[in-house]
Amino acid sequence: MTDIEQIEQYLSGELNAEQRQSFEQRLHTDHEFAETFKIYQAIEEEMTTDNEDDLRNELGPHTSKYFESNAGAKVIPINRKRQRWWMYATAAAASIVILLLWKPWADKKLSNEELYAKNAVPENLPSFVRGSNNDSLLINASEAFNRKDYAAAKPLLDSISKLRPTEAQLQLADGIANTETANYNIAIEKFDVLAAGQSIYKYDAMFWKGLTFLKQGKKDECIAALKLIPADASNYKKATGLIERLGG
Amino acid sequence: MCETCLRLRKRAIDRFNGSNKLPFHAYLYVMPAIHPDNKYIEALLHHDPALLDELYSRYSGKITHMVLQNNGSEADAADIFQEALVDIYKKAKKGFTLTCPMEAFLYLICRNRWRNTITRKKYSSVTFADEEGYSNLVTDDSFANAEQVITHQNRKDLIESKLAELGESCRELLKLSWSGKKLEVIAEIMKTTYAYIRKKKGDCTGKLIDLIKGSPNYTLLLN
Repeated sequence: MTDIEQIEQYLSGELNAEQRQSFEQRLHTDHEFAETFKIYQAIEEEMTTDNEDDLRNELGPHTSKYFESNAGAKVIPINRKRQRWWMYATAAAASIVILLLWKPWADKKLSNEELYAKNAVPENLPSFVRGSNNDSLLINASEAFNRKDYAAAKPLLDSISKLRPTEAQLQLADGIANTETANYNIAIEKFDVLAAGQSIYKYDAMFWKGLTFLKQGKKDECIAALKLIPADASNYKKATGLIERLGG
Repeated sequence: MCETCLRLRKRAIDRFNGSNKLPFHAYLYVMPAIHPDNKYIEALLHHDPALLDELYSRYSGKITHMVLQNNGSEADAADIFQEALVDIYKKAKKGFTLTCPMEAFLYLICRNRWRNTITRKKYSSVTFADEEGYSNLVTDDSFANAEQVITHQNRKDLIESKLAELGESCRELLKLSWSGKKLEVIAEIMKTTYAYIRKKKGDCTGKLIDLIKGSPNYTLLLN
């Protein structure tokens, strides 16, 4: 039996009284073995994760808010003295031209595919989760997902979401990757689980369930799914807007 | 005796006119009180979103500045800040309470984490520019508080650096086992048998310990 096997059996209480005594005796006499034992315990103490991923999930939105969003936010000061009336006039004229070309009021004519594309804008997965488990798998999955390479992201997210069933953001991303790769039943199953839970992605999951129906051209099912989003949800306006566009 | 204990003892000796024979109650006079900023430690423990938001709003900018001044990016700062909070959380779960202001404490922990990172990445310049204005904030108390978390950071960094030298399958297996999954479950995930996984885990741990023992600062893990 190797030293490590002996240490594991000792710590899990699998040794009998005699074996325990002999183990403890060896700790006193064999310096090398005693060091191995201490390092084994230190590794277990430092590396055992203790709901840390739940905390990372909890911190993720704050980290995104205070780091990522600030990155590109530059304040451009306006020198008021230099403003001229014609600047306003030019801006107003330009706005009118843009509105005439863009025709935002013509959205009702959008096809299901166009409406889907317009609304299917997933939030990026955080890219700063290094230090947690399964780093390389997670980093590769996040990168593929964030560059919208869903075919590459799907198998990675499928594996990682099995390993981390309690991480709502990853479950949502896996659902989205399944929708995007036309694995609709798996996607809806994922969104249903999230919708029944209490995570902050609950209502996102309900919205994405609606989008999954929309992508398949199932307009009525889409409307029915979106109507379940309550008025106090942050995406309620977005959901009612889409219902309206679909004529529901 | 630990450094914090030595510092407390010195403080007690100073207070009791330099006498080395301290009465038992001497330590009660010098034990630092819990600082009001301990509310942030509680917020981490109890996942209080409003206080966590306040914590980010008050300190994230300063940590970003420190990382940007020292060859880092904003993404690095986000990583350092979030993982420092995870380190503090782990310590808090074992009963740590804060007896100094949060700002200096968090600064010291993030600084240590970023220093370890730039040393590991072997950046061309490892000279570390300390932030101006922190010399007044960083006191004995903040050092003593931060030291408790920093010791764990350094131990964990050493283990992680050696873990990176193991093969992919060993790394995956050990991480799964540290995540609290039973060996039976890991065997299922890795599509193999319990007996194989148990043996393999022992082999991987043995390899990791050998690598650690080959490192000049492995004694960090013996205390």
